[in-house]
Amino acid sequence: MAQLIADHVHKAYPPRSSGQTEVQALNDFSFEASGHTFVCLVGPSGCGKSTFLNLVSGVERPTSGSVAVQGESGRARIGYVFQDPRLLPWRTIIDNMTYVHDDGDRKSRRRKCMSYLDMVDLAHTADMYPGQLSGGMRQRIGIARALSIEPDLLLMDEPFSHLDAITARGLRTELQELWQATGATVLFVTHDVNEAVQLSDRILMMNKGGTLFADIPITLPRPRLQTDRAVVTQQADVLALFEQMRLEPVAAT
Amino acid sequence: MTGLLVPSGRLRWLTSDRSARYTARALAVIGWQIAGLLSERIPTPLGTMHFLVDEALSGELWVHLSWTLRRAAVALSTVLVLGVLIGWAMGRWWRMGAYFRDVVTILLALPAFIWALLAAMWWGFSEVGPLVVPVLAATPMLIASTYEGAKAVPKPLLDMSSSYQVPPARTFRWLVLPAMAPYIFAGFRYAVLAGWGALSLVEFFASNWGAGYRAAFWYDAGNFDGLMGWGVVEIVVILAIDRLVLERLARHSRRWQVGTERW
Repeated sequence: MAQLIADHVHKAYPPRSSGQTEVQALNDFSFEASGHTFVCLVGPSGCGKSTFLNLVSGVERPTSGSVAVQGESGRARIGYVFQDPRLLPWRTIIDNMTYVHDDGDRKSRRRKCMSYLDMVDLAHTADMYPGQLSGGMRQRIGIARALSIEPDLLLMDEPFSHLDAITARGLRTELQELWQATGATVLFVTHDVNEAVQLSDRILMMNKGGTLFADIPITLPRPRLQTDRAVVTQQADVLALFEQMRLEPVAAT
Repeated sequence: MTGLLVPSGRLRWLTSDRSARYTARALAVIGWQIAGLLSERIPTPLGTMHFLVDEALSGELWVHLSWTLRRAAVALSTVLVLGVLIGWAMGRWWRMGAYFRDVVTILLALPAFIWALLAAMWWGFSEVGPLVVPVLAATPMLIASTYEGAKAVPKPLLDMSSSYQVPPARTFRWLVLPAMAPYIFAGFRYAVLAGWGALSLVEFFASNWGAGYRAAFWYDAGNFDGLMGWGVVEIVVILAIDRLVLERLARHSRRWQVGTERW
């Protein structure tokens, strides 16, 4: 379980050539999340959702403002599931899992990783290479890898966007079950409103200028299915808000 | 119209790829033997073989070849370490790249025999030249190749490692080195050839031991079979190293690619 505080975060990328201006990815973005919460970041392409995950994970630094993540026992463990699973193609699946582990001896790391592979029903792939698996299986390995470090905070960047609808639907259900078995705080990026409503406790809606437009609580009972009447109704409300955001001019920075 | 006549059964090997290769080799040896009969200044395959048997029986072949192999092992190991580290650093830090790029180009353009002659003037017949010259001649080749490999290390995988706070040493061993491996192997195979040639030259000009020295000895004696014999030894050794060691290592490093996509 983690406590995440983003305080007036700005992130701008310098121009790539002399004729260009700097690209503003996030602008005065603030929010807090803690506990066993599932938060979805929703917004149009280029609104800074993935940038924010990179700032939280420490891959990038904010131009100004701060992002602080606190774990239960000090420094937070952060798991990251990417759009493509980012596995080392020359290493076996079990090596890919142990690669991100730093605690315990080799045997105990392997045992722990095997248990998480088993959790996603892929223990039999331990000695295979990523290229021998399907896209859906690789993504499940990515999720198992992130969960295996027993994260306080789990970052997920459109993890199902590259998958076919049927595989994605199965993984969404699986993810809900896995998350409920852990105590992690989840920050999930998507631009699929239906997916956001199905999965989250909170939806943060971001606009094109990289600012927070709305913070919407989702209090529907779990487990939820994509086709549940309540999910579909709430989805319509969120989409209406989306339309309102689209029509509002983005504040100049 | 009927097609060409294709031999069947036992005669099929006559039209095989292997048969074509062996025929080409046999014809080259026969052609060489015939050319050798035209002039006393042209060594022949039979004369060369005869010389090598004599050289082996006298023990000189093993003594001098072992000197050369020892020097090559030390020099090429140094090439491997320096080439990979400098090439990787050039790709990793752009300032290093900017600093070394021109230096590497100049070193690549400098012929090995210049290094061999300089070594003779600087260090005489000492052991320094045969160890340093192959390093100077071969390292730039490996640097240039590794540099390209370092620029091609997938950034998404580096970001993944950084987000999971994987220790830098493990990232280097598990991610950076394997990603650069195809470039390193390709560069190292050429570097071995360049280093081996440079070692022969420096032994020829500035050493009292080694295959190059022995070739120079028979050159001075006007023994064309002797000169050619040591040339053949150098070729056979380098081909053996390339086929039996380097090619197999390169194949091993690509085993994960067999029947799979890259990433």
